[in-house]
Amino acid sequence: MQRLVMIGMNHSTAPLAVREKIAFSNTQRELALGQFREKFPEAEAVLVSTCNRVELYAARPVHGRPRIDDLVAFVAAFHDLPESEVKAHIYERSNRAVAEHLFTVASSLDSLVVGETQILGQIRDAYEVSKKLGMVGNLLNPLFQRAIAAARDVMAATRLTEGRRSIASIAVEYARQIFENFRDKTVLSIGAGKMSSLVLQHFSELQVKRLVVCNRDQTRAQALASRFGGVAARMDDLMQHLAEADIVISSTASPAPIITPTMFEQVMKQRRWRPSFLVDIALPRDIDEAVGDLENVYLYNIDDLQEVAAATDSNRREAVQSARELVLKQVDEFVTWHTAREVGPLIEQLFSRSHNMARDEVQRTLKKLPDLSAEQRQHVEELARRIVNKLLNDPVQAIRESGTEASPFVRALAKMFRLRS
Amino acid sequence: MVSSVQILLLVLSILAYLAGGLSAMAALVGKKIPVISRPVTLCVGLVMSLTLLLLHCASTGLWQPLQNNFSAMVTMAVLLAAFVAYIQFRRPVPSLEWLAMPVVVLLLLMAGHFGTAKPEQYLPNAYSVVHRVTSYLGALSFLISGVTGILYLISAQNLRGRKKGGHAPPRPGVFGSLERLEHLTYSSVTFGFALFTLGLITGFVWIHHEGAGRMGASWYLSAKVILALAAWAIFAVVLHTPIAPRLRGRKNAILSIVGLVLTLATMVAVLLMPAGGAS
Repeated sequence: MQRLVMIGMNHSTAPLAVREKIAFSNTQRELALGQFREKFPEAEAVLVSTCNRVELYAARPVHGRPRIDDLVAFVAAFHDLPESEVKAHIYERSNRAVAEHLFTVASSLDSLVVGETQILGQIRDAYEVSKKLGMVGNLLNPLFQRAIAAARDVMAATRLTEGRRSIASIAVEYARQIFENFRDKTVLSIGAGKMSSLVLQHFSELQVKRLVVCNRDQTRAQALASRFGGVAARMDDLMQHLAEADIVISSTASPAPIITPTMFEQVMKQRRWRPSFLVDIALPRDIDEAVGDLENVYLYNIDDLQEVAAATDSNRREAVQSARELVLKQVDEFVTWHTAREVGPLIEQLFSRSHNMARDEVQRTLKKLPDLSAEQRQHVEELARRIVNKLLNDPVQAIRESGTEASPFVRALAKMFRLRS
Repeated sequence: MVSSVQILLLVLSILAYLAGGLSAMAALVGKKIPVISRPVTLCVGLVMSLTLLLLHCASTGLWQPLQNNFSAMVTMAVLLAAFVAYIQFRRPVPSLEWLAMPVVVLLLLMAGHFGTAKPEQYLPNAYSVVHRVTSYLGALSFLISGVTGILYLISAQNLRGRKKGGHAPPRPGVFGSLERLEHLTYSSVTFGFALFTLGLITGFVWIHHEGAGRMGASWYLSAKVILALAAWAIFAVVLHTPIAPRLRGRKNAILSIVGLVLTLATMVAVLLMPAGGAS
């Protein structure tokens, strides 16, 4: 028997400043999973890290490790942070609640912007990484597969994804509140990743005067710039491009801010304090928060934009409600399936042992009653079989219905009836 | 001087502009008043106040919009409302009425109060006419720049407040873009500054020409002159933003608001002056 445990922090439990400290880059994730395996060789693990959440899922033997505290200690140690700092912002789940949480997250019902589809891809990526590293087995393998399938079903069966506003479109709305005319404006993208591409697509529709993509990897910068009729630029020329840009979209994987207040004050002087609209969609953030305090600078980070996007959720309450019902149904199905898989062999043993005992006792009794006809002997055998079935029916049913909480019952049953668990 | 029909038209104009202002305010806080359509109230107000002005000119027999303190205030109100109508029909700034209509109503109230309690016929000589036309149009432009300055400040505060988590997400199109508000502020200051400067010069020449008798020997220490010069100085600073870019944005908007207050105070000072000194 295995137990499911998880810890996590998300946009509702931890501010951006904390989340960026706990976030795992792709390289860090693989490194962390390797360390996890060394520390807990019997356990399975999946590590989900997005701009909104960091979650560590684990499956362990009933009496094994890791427990919740071990997971907290592991994450804190990896990032060299005090455990108390991590603990103050986390939520924890075990057994059925883990499945329910994962299914809810994958269906985007726990996202700040309910109905966003990005989270499903991120969950799938996290699962694939653990699978590649051999970190998923009997429990996390089916759990993640079912969660991904369930999320797809939920999105297809409900109107959850309809009518939502994307972060990119909200950024454009803000830009429209600052600038009237875009034909004389320059847009600068720092970074050439997927998010930059999504946001640039919206800004390119405004028919801006100039679009510049600044990236360390010039090939990627060139590829992205050519998609939107822009030009690629080197990171070494960032200051010059910042001074020319009216709108800056930053989404790099830099572990520390690349734009500081001192640096941007120089930029604003060069701009003669013309308004500057900065969109920081990176995690950890690329632009120091204090830059937003400079005069005529309008700085927005991922949380600012998502909060606005989340405001549209109230229009989709009905869809959210039906999605939640569907998720619960899918969780029930998974838990039932999983319990049946876990306790099935044990129940089979129990029935087989009990029927064998009953059969032996019936034979012993029949030897003492030689005058019984064949039909009467058959009635007695049938009686014993029915008694066994009836006696075992209620406890077996209770175990099957106990879902992920079946472990104590199973252990007790195995001990009392001398079964092999 | 002001007939009861004119008073009735004045009250109706005030009510129409007030309804427009309240409707704009309701829209700003997310509530809709379906009965009151803002374009309708604005048009009704404009027609009423224009009729009032024409009726007043007809009753005096002088077809000059700035012939006395009553018509001067009504003319200012009509021009400000016409400016709002022009902006709203061209490229709307929905919240403009919320701030401009109270100023229009204030001007009409001043017309009603001073025009009936302390009526004053302005002198019809050449200096006086040029001085009045340029000063009032200049002051009107300053009022407009003050109103757009307030809108800029609120909008900028909303946009910056987002990251502090203190404000609800601003709705696009409610205030107009900062760029447009800044442009409106700067344009009206440029236009107003030129006219107001001309008004001040003609005023000084007029006093020099006529002698200081009407305003007294220390005319330069009168509230009207000091406040007008202070407003002029403030807008002179605003006008120099291109060579002092650090003043861009909110600082400029704050200066425009100070200018608006000084302009209104100048107008009140003009209306409160002893007879003969106002024109």
